[in-house]
Amino acid sequence: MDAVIVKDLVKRFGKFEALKGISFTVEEGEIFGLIGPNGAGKTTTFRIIATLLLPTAGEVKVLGKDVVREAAKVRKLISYLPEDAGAYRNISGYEYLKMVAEIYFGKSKQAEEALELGIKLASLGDQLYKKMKTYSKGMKRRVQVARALMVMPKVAILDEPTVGLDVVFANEVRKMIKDFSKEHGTTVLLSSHNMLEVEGLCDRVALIHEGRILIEGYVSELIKGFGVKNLEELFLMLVKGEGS
Amino acid sequence: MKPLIIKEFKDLVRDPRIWIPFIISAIILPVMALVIAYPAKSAFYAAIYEYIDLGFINYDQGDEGTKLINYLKSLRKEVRINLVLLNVSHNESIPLNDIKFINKVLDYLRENNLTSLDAVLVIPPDFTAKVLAKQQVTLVAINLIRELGFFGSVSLKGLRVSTIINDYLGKKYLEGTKVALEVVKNPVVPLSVSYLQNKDLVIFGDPSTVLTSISFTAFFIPIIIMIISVTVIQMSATSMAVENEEKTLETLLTFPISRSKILFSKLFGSFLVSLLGSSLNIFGFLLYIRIYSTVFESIIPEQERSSEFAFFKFTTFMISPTDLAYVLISIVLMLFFMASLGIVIGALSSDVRIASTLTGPITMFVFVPGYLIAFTDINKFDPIIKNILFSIPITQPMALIKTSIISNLSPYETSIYLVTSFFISIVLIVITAKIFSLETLSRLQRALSRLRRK
Repeated sequence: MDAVIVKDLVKRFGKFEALKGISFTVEEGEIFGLIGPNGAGKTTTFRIIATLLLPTAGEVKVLGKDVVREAAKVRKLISYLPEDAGAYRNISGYEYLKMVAEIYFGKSKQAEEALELGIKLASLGDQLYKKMKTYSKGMKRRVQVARALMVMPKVAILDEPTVGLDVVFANEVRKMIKDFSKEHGTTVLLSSHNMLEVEGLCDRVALIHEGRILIEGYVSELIKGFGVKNLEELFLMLVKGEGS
Repeated sequence: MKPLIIKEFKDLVRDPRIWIPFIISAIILPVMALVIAYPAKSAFYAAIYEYIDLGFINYDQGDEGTKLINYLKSLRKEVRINLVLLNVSHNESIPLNDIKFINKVLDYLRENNLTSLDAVLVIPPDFTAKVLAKQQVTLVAINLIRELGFFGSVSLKGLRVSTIINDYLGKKYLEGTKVALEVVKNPVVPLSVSYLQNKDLVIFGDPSTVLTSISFTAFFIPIIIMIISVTVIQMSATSMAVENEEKTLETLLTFPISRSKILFSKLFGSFLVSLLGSSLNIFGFLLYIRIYSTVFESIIPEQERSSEFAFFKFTTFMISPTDLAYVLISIVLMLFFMASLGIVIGALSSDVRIASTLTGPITMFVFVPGYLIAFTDINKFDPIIKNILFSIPITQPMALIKTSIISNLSPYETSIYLVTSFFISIVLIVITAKIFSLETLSRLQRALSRLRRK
């Protein structure tokens, strides 16, 4: 079964058309990358899949559930990590993770297990019990990634999961996502500007530019098919070609 | 919903920025009371107990002027007056209230180092003639003001002197008759009794006593509610707008929890914290009133104390405990409504700045109906409008207070009013939840930026 189906998706903000009829599918259990330059429409697409925005036209389904008509059901299947997700200043990372676990599972054994997993994924040690206003950007991002994964979503939508992180932190987060998806069979839909990251992490990618999908396919096949060295070269070739 | 309420409560209650305004207002009000009350006290004290240094210029062509001066001299200690006789020459063609004459007196004072006097009284040439004819006499008083304060002691000192002279002449005019001065001054002694029909209550005093109590309650209660409401609305609006600004809302809206639950948890969490904070406001305000009453009660003789200082006590006496409970519930419900309004404003504001800009005018707008109720007769309204005024949260507390002072509240009707008030807040949140989404927010933000461009 396809985890995410996006079909002829259009999104207009007033007169501006952010998405011009894009279509792609994400298979269950795979890590799918949506790549593209700034303003291409990645975040808008993610927000629609995460039930935050309504499509102007087209259809989006998550594990067979329509994001408009069955938004509440979709929310139970997904977890979403926004690109610039903030943190509550005066509660600790632990309290935040506990709150999320209880929202998803109530006061249950499942919530305790989720919290335990969250603590493990965040790997902040004693810092996790300090107020989040004392955290660095990287620490906040770790808590957010842990929060998104610990609830064992069927589909994790991660918008720029390693944005603003240093090399070491970014590498750890990438490893965390890959291992988690492999271990739990979680479908991951992510976006990134880092082509190296996408190449190493994603099974398949779709390249979006100015609201249109330019290509979609397995990373290795795309590199081979276009005769380029890597994804970055392909990206530049397609985006510049499209722009000229 | 519980985890979200706990999160909201903890996030707010641990924020020192939240407590600073509460603590400041709890301190600033008593300090204000001290700053105003103590200068007032010293001015009153000076007016009542300090010696008056009074200069006299006697142009009287008979002996009544001298008699008056001697009378004042005999009372020197009793009425605390120091008399200084001044010798200022006078051209009879210049009236005593002419600026030329006044300047002459002032020059005399300066030349003789007498500028420390409080006032100079000028006895006119026709003083004896008028006293013998039992006519009104004109005394020119030149008050020497050295400082300007809200509570000027000079005018009160002057009042003391004029009362003594009035009484002296009054008694003189009544000599040979059996009429006492007090009788002429106050021929009628009102012994008013007020009967509150709806309460079947007799109050010894004229209706103005009741009215004073009501008007002071009408004045102060909205102020108290306003102080608290501003805090409540701002806190809830800020806490909601922060979710937008800090981008935590985007995550929150993807959780498997309904929009209305998100809004209600924000509402309950911030309402709880704002109630805690407001208790500091109320403490400060009560201390403010207490300082005032203590300071004034200590200098004003008991029989002269105004009922204004006892209005709280009086109002409490007028309102039965059950009615007071209704009023308090109604005030809490109004605050709940303000918190709901804050949540709506915050939810629809993309950042804290916009939320703050909106809360100010909205708070003022909310208070106008409250004051309208305070100063109008609700019973003159059409029954439908009257019921609406008793039901909507912003007018209900004042309407209930006014009614409970002059009659007893009907438990049946009041309960319906209170429940309606509560549901108005709930409906407000539910409606907001229906339109509350990132979609609405981005639409509003676009509309706002279009407006800015224009």
